[in-house]
Amino acid sequence: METLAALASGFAVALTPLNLLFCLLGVTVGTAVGVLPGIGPALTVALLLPITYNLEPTAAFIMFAGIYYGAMYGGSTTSILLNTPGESGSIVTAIDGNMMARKGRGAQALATAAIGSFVAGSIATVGLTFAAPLMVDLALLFGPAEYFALMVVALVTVTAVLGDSLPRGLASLFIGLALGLVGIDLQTGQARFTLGVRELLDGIDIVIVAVGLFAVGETLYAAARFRFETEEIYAIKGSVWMSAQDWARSWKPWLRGTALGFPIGALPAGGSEIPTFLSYLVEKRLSPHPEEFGKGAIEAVAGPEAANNAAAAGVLAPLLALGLPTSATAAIMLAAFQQYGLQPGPLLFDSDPELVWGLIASLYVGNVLLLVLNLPLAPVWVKVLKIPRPWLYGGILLFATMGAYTLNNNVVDLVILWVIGLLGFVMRMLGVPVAPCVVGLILGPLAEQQLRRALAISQGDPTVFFTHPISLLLLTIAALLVIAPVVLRRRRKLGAADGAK
Amino acid sequence: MTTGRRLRLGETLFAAGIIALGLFITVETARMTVGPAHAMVGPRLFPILVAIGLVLVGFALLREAVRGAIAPEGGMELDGRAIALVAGGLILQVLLIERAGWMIGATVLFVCATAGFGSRRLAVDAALGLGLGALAFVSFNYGLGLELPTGEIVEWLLAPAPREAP
Repeated sequence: METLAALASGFAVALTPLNLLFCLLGVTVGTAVGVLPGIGPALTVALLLPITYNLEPTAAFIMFAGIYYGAMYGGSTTSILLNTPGESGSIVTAIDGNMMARKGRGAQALATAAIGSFVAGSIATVGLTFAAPLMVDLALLFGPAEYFALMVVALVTVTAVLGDSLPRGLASLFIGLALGLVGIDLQTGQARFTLGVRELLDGIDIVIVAVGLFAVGETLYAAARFRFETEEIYAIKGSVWMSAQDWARSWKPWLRGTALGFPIGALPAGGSEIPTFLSYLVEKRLSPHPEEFGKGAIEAVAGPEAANNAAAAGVLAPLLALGLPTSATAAIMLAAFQQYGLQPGPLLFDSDPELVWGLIASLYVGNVLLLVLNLPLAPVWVKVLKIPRPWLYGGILLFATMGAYTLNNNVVDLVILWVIGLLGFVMRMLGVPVAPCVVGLILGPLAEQQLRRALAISQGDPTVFFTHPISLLLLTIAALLVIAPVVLRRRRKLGAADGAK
Repeated sequence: MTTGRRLRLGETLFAAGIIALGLFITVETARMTVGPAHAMVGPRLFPILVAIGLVLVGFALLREAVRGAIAPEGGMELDGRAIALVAGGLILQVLLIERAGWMIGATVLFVCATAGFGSRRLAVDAALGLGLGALAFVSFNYGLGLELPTGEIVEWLLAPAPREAP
């Protein structure tokens, strides 16, 4: 009941006219961002960080959360009508969603995605409301050793689950960790890896890295491939309403998707890709007509899209309660907290209840706004999709350099942006995921702090990580997450080889 | 145009770069002067762990590159001119932003980027770039207190010339 009282006070914060306006602004920008290919929520929040420096933190976070939720809604539009998923969580939606659009059922696909997102987002926000305080209670049991182990788990899950090659994910992660080393060591004042450049003493800002990888790297890649790729937008035609049969086939996948998405997002088990894939597989298995899957089954849009949104809400639980980001957007939001001198984690719930609960309450509000924005206004968003690509990417670059420059008002940041952009391009070309790099950059320094604190307490005895039960458990999980896929793949290969004999 | 073989070469170079980064961190960490009080759990421990990780990952990548299991078979076509235009536009922006100012730098960047994406309407693109740049300049500098540079040259042009004044 304590939670409900806190949530009520949160609504009092979120429903003030100004915060409502920021919520509306956030979800609108977020939907646009989700719809536009080439930009995602992580990049947008990163670009807005320097701009919102003078804003009141609660309003800023309500807007950021709106962008995050909005992008999840908008992403489905792009994957359904254009077959280019705007972010990794909507890859699965694109399969059957685009097939539906080709058959002239684009409107129904958009509707089941939007309503499913609303159902999932609302249920998952309730989940977040009650899970976050529980996580706070758990976090109070944690010492530095446990925190370090938890961060290792988060780093591993972000890395191991993305992409089809573990070394590639790890390479991205370690690049992020290496970039995070640059700057003055907070505990001793030792300058590290600054190459004698004064501007590097403060470290490499996560905004520069995120913008470099997501905006510059992505634009370079898109430019390099532009001549060779054609895209086709499928117009919405015919009835825009879901038939009774569509509803009947959609509501169970929505609920199952939510049940898959929220826990996987909330336990730092890594992002929104996994639950969407799982949801697809589950729906295919349960469906009375599995042969339709891959050819435009509405369940295959409803389930994964719900899972995607539920996971997005779930990710906020460890971010708020433990200060632990498990996606690129969450990593940037953590940087935003740091910009305001706030430290997400158990203490934040005590020191800034207004911010935390206002933010959570704004998620309920944002979901309702998003349903209104997305259902009747879908044709408007389709127009956004038609912005000529040269202008879109020109604009992205323009705002990327603006964000990078205004961070510290110096050109060095623009040079770093360029270098990181080229790195991002190379990574994109070689199929190296970039999200682990961003999460590694922000979690690396925090993990180092906890590592050294734990070792200082144990007087340099490294066994401390294995003698504390929680820490041992977490590290075991992390090790399994790395080893299990490798072993499974090898066994499958061996099995295939045996079968060939 | 990038063939499969060249993509594998790229993978190999990427792996080598990761290993080199690991070695660089090792050398720099060894050269770091650290007070005796921090000998045990000092600023060196974590960089060394990261360096070890980088070198190990680098070799794993090298193995993947040699096996060539991951790279797309037929390679991947890349438009070199487009890459050069976009990357060059960004460099011009770096050179121009403080001298010629944000608005001019932004316009040049926008034109380069649109040209990179195959747009041939130079005048329209330039006008749009200038418009976007000016909009950002006015709204963010006056509305939100950011400091996008006016540019030394523009300031010099706008400033009343002191010698001509009586």
